[in-house]
Amino acid sequence: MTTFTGALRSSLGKKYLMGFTGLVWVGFAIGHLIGNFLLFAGREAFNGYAYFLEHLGHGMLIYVAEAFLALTILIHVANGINVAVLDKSAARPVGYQVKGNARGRTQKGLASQTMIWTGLTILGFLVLHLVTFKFAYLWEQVPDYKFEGTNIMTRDLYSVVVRRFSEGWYVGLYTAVMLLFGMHLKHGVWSAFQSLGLLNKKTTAPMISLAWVVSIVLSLGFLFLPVTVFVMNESFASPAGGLHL
Amino acid sequence: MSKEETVAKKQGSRYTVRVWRQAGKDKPGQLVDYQVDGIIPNMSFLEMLDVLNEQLTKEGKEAIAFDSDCREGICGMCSLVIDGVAHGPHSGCTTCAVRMRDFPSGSTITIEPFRAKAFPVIKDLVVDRSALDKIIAAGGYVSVNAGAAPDANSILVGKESADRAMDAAACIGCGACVAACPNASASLFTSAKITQLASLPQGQPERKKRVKAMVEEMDRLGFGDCSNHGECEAVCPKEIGINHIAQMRRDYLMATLAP
Ligand code: FES
Repeated sequence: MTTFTGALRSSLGKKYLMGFTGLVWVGFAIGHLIGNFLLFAGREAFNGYAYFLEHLGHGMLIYVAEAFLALTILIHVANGINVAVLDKSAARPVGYQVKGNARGRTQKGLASQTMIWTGLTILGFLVLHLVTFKFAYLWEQVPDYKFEGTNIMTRDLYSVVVRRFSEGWYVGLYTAVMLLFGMHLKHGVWSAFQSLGLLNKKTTAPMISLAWVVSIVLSLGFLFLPVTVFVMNESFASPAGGLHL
Repeated sequence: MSKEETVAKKQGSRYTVRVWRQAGKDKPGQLVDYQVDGIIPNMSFLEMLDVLNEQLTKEGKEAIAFDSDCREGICGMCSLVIDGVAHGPHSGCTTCAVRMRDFPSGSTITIEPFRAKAFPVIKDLVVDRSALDKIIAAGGYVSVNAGAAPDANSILVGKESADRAMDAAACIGCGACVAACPNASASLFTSAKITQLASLPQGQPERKKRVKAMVEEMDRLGFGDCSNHGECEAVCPKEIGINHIAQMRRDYLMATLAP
């Protein structure tokens, strides 16, 4: 008798896990992007948003969310390596000398075949991203910020972001990774729905188009911010911050 | 050489064919180059190999082993990877239905066997695809007597279900989906066999048992994981869609969540 947990270890189970964890992170990325746009509203708004998140549910909710995200990405990465490296070479020990691509209805292409590499690059970037933003206070001076008209103090996360995005190399790297992130999503988003068995003959093609839209919006959305902060640094670095033309 | 043969040779084109030669199972193999002459555009791909084999036999060399039977696209016996694509450059057709007019005269054509751990090479281009039969034997049947032809009229089947079942039933079990999959997954084949029965009333009593048994057999035989490349659908001679794979995933999930 196959139980649900037993099923998760099957080749189909790997797909369920991959699709589910992938969608969790796509959801997170959408929320994160919306939050990021508060940079345009200025120092008070952005720091206020960070403060709000850190204090949700007596400051517990953020830890729960972080633990959940950490667990899902761990599953996603471990599964991905399993599928794209270990199982793949085991199932075809002798490969083809000539590699071809069928025309027509195939989805096999640069994006689908480089999922493991774009994925690992995003993972590496994620670590750098956490070190340079979230955990910046552990290794560099982060100024304090006092909310207007109150006595509440918090870390000035806004200044960390703006300072980092004034560095050309960081913005360049960020942009490059976001383009790869878009590529990962182009195959990943529709694929997640297919993996969870949620598509049929009629919905597959529209979902593939929707995945294109999601990947372009998220990738351009994320790289729009650092580029704008880099170009308009004077405006962003002012005491009130934000974008004023 | 007879007079007609000389004429055909003059008229036909010449190709360089690079063929995987392997003396037997677990023996080392390699690509070997051959020149073949007198190929006319309307010849089928397998006829080109027949001409080459005749040539090899006359030269006292061993003929190239390859599978074929009906040579009209219905049996699923032929199985070649031509220039890296299972069943060659034409979509929706088997190797035996590929014509030489698809290849520019004078070009080089590389022919390799279907590659997967579950499909061991027996000789040259012939592989053992009995793993697919094992997947069917694990549950791809209806255990009760479903009746004779007249009984078909007593159990009504909706048009949509009938179409879906027919789509899936078009599978000839050639294994091109496995050969084309970058991960050597048998998901398209297995899902077609599962949904064919899952779409019909006769398949309902054993539906959950079947999907579990067949999926687990597929895994046990060493086929790879699906990464939704969809290359299987593109090479399938019967154009079976990956929507059947999604259906299999739904069924397997339901079967394990609510056994
Ligand atoms: S030989 Fe029968 S399908 Fe090609």
